[in-house]
Amino acid sequence: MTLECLNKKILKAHEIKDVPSLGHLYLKAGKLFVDKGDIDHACFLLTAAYVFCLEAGLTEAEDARAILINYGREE
Amino acid sequence: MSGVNSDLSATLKPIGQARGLPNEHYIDDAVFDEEKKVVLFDNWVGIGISSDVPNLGDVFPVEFAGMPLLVVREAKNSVSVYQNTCRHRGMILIEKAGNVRGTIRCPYHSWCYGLDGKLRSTPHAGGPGRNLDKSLDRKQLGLIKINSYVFREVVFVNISGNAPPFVDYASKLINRWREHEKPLFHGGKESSFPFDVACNWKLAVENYCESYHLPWIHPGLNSYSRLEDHYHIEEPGNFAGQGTKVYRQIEDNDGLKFPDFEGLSDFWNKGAEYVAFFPNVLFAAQRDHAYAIILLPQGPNRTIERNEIFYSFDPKERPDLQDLISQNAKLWKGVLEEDIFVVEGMQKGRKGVHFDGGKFAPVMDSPTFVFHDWVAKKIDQSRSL
Repeated sequence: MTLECLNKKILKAHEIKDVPSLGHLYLKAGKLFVDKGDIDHACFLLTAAYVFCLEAGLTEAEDARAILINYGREE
Repeated sequence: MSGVNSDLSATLKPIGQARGLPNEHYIDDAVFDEEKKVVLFDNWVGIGISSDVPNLGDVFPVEFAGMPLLVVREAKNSVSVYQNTCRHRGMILIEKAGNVRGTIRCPYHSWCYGLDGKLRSTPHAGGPGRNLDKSLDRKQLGLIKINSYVFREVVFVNISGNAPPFVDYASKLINRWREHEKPLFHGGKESSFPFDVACNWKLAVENYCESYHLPWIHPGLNSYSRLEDHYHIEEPGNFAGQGTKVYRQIEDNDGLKFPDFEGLSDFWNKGAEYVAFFPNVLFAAQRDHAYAIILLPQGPNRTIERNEIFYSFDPKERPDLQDLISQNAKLWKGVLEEDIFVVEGMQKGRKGVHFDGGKFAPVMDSPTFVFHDWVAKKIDQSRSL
């Protein structure tokens, strides 16, 4: 999925308050920026992923958290 | 307390000489605020029922006398109550009842709390994408837990946190109704009917305490439950009310009745008791069903009354009793509605500047006096500190 496509889906998910989708989509976007080496922006997106995954009770919250911990951004 | 000038000296006299609480205790904002602290928050108050949160993760916000509270089904058999306020910027966390699948997320900056109240996440608190800050100790920043206890399916809280443990506070009522310590099942949607009443919450307590009004306000009772069939219940400092010796079970045209609570002694075959548990919950104990009325003060002259009926059986497992449950809810709603004009009328009467709190009829009003005396002593003790 391209970043542009992800952004559109994220905006749509915000619009309809689809929290589980927000968790999944931000996680994908965060991982894309990790791959690009833009860690600050990746952690910004992964923080959103972590929050929405937590809110939705998704196990992927731990994936996001693990990456954030790895970069010293979460505990 | 500054700005509060009610004179309680007449209320603190023995019943024969006493007058009721002065008008200010029903119409004055400053006295309402004083009572909020001393009479409500310092004691165990009912705020809802456990079936407000039937499923794990259910959350139910309650504003009790202005205090934002959140009832949470934290575990299958455990209900917790928190202050419904984010520890960050004081945002209200939950405004509508619902189910939280994971964490409680503040809608402002998305600080997240577990159902156990622990602070789980503080997004961007240390800068964008940086969620930590050395000054921010999450262990110290969980939701403020409010002491709570579920008794007869009513969720009680002690907001100030300075009352004795609930089982000590309520020990006399627990002992009196020990035989009724049985599972209670809520009757469902029709068995829950709130009233929005234009009166001070105490007037609903006072009316509930005595049987004196029954022949005049509930004439339908006269045919089978006469005034002389009732007795006073008085536990000064704790609860007051009335009992009847001629309780009659409701039944349908085919003679179908509700099943009794198991193991009750013979007394309860015809006995039933109606008790105002101070300060704000009105209970009924009967052989075949129970109810609780929770008084939610909205200000000096407005009260929401939550009326909730419970049974000895799970209504979902007894479809044959659904019609009778509906009939019973209609019956109680009708009886309890008959009291509304009385409590609203007493509220209006307290605008009379020459009203002196009222002369008690000692024989008939003594349970009501027990409540006045309790309120007056709580306030008097507080003012003398």
